[in-house]
Amino acid sequence: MKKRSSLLLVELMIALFVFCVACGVSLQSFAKSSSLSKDADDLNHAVTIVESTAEQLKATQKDSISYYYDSDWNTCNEDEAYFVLVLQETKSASSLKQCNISIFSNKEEKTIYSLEYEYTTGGTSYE
Amino acid sequence: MKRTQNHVIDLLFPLIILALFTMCAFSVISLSASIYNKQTSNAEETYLQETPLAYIIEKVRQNDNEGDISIITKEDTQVLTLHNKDYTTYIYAYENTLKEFTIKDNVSFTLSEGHDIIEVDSFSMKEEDNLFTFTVNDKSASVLVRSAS
Repeated sequence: MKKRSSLLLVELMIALFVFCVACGVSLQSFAKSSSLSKDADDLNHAVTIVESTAEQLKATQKDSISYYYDSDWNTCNEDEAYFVLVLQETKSASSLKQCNISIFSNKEEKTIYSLEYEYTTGGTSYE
Repeated sequence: MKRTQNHVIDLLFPLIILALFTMCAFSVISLSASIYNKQTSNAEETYLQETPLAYIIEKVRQNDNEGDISIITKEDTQVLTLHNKDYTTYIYAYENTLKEFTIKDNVSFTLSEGHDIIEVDSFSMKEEDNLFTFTVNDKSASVLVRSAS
């Protein structure tokens, strides 16, 4: 009886060990997939916001640009900002302006998306 | 011969281990199910926001000629009109569906006649100095028309 009982115990322990290893690998994959999904979502929002900002710059509506966003990509105050839109003018000729528009993540301290953009003031030609 | 003595723990311990194993298995399955659920709902949300915005902006760029793009109100609904030669394309949200209708100028139609594009919870648009801003399901995108002067 004792022999059978200890055999069952060893069998269970081995099964539990194998399960724990598989569990560890699976959880790692789950965490990675979750993080990739969040990154893709953030990139999607960042691209839309940067492209819209570029259009707003071209329309010379700098006042209507929102610079601060919370973790759900809603506009917010500077103090609550999770993502920040950064506008840097890199070159400026008479009417041709060159600037860099990027979205920076405050929490992860990394740039999510960046766009070099050239536009003309006083006109809105794409040429 | 020495007599082996049975203890309750001999039976209890394997049972506890088995229960632990079952609990862990259920936790991992429920965790994976919730992660999968979250990711599919995220993907669907992105699809429902991005697709109509990309579609409308592309349509605006296709029809970007001076005076050809405007926002009108019909049946108390905002309607984007894209004029192209003798025809006009109308894009609008009607009963939670983004619809499109292309019809010859001066021919009357009702909003219900449009062809369905995609489901939308909310849709609004505004135009300011030739900068068109479209908001679909709380996500906005702007496009400046080329024909702006």
